Amino acid sequence: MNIKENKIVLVGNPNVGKSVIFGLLTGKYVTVSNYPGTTVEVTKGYAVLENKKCIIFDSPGINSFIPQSEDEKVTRDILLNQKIDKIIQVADAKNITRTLLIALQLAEIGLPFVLDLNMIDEAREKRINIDEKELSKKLGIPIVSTIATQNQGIAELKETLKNLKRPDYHIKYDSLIEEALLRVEKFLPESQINKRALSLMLLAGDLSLKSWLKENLSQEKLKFLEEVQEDLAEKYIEPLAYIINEQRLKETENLIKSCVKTEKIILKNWVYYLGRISMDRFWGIPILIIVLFLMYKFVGEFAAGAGVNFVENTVFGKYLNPWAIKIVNFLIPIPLIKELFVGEYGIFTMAITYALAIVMPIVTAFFLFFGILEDSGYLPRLAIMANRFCKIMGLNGKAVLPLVLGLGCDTMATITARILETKKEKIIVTLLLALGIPCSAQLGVILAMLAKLSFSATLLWVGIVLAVILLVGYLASKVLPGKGGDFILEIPPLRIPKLSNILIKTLARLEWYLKEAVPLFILGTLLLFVLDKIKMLKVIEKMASPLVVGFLGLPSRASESFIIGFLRRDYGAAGLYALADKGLMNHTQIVVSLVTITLFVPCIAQFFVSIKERGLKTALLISFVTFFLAFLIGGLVNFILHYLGIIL
Amino acid sequence: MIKCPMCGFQFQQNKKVCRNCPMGIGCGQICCPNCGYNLPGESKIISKINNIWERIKKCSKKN
Ligand SMILES: Nc1nc2c(ncn2[C@@H]2O[C@H](COP(=O)(O)OP(=O)(O)OP(=O)(O)O)[C@@H](O)[C@H]2O)c(=O)[nH]1
Ligand SMILES: [Mg+2]
Repeated sequence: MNIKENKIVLVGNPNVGKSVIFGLLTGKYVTVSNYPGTTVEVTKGYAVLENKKCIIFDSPGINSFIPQSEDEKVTRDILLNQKIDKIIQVADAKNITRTLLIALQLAEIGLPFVLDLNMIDEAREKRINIDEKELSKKLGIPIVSTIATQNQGIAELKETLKNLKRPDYHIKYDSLIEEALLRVEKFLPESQINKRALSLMLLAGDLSLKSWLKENLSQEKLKFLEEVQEDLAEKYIEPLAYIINEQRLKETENLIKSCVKTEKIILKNWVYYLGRISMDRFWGIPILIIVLFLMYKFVGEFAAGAGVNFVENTVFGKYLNPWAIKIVNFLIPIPLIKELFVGEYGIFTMAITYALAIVMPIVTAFFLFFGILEDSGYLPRLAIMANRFCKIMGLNGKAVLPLVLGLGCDTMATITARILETKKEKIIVTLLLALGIPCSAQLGVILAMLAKLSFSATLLWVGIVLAVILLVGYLASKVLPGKGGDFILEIPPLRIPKLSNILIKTLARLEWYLKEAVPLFILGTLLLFVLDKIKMLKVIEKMASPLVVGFLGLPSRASESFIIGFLRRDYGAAGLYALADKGLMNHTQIVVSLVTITLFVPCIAQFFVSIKERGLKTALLISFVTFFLAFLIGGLVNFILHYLGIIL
Repeated sequence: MIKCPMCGFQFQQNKKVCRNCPMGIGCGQICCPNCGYNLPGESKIISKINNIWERIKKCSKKN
């Protein structure tokens, strides 16, 4: 090779069009998609710019240069370890705050770079006007705008690449940080990343930097750096990474104020004010309680009361089940197979009836309600309220998101726990999800049962489950102190949702739910059927009797619900519902059984995902702990209620 | 374009993306690339109804 090749890296937030631009520059196709981690490795391609061969790297999207995940580490490490000549920051012009957060950090890093405001078409559509000239002057870097998908602006981008200078823009942090920076900088080894930027990463507690430092620094120096970092960290209540990020955010806000204009007409009507107070520290709480109360009324009383009653007793009880029995009797002469369909543990009489008659009306109501919450813009507000709650427990703000998502589906939420930084945090969130967060279907069935009791019984259930989550969360936060960043949410204005939209979503969710749940319902029923036929069911019930009857004080048939609960908690809950419906449980028993099934292992899909995400050993351990706690707490509730002589 | 109701992130639906997810393709959910929030994908029933509707429209235009 005669002349040294130029090395250029594409850097930017996730999903901003880096891979599309990479394709345009190199002619090489990279998977372009919409999931974090599409580009998990660095892709290399070649391009000729200014008659010179260049190597171009496409990197995974990042939200910060302090890596919080494997992908982000990959990107940061290229800058640390490869000899890089130029950087192209690809940005989503619509998300200017995130864009500037990265740009400011790149400016600190100090390698020559150009800011490419991509997706400018969508920004224009949203009437976001960015004063490129002003911003470019302020930051001291060239800025171009592109529409990658239409190959617009790419020529200009190439042109700009020809003469890039090192940026010279520094944020001034508060005096404590600046002081620490001065002390740290002196000791850092040379690299292409500006020492100030490296120091900031170090102060923010970037653990992934450690191994690199170990290679390049003596033991003593390393120790000194650690001491400076710890000293500084002690001076703040919040973690340093958060403090540094806050100060960067302030800087971006100032830049945005002077360079970005969004034409937005905000109607200051009652909805606007409602939106504001729903996030208020004080007023947010009564509003949350009202929302929960409405949900209880709608899902619990209306859907479960009138809805289930009608579908279960009239549609299924009077018509469908008798018809099915008649048809099966007529078509199938073999008694065993007949029973398989319409017997006590019959696919039709149990699985389908439970799924369609009990769970479906409830879940439909729940999905409807959830759709309203979603479209009205209340969800992110709920997350913010939950975030405050978690802060009290000392849990990382990011942990809130999977927990809130768990109310939709625990399985999906377990996957979302990926966004957390440490292994410990991931395990704890997985445990909390498995233990205390009922998914939508389950929550619906439980609410429906509670609605048949008193409101005080409902409060008792809420209280117990919340107390368990708080306790486990609190203990967990003792094991690992809350650190790491908050998640960034864009709070949309509150608005009145469109009915058609909600109906479509509800239908889609219902379709998904039925596809997901009914096969498992059938599987569970088959299991009971086989166990019953080989006379094992009675044996199991007898074996479980000390636990279920003695300790929990439930009828022995409740064991069946726990067996099918292994496949899905909501199926188990439906089993309990049917028992309660037949008058086989009194109010105390209902509350005890509900507490137990709420804390029970979520479902088989969640279990498999746990194995895949956390490993077999951890998944088994989590299941075991969940199982143990569920019965322990259920038993304690039973014991205390009886001991105090409380009749619900 | 889909806008995530949780974090406000805008993205396009893409089926290929689910390869990274242990649930695999075909769960019928869309996953927000930014925060992981799940929203229901397009319902098959609804898209079928839509298709039929489009056809009826086309036919009536021809006539
Ligand atoms: N409207 C519009 N869409 C764009 C533009 N550029 C890219 N996209 C779309 O944005 C999505 C994300 O593009 P990618 O190139 O995969 O984004 P990325 O930055 O490589 O994403 P990660 O690798 O996950 O970090 C794709 O669906 C593109 O089609 C643009 O200029 N305008
Ligand atoms: Mg990419």
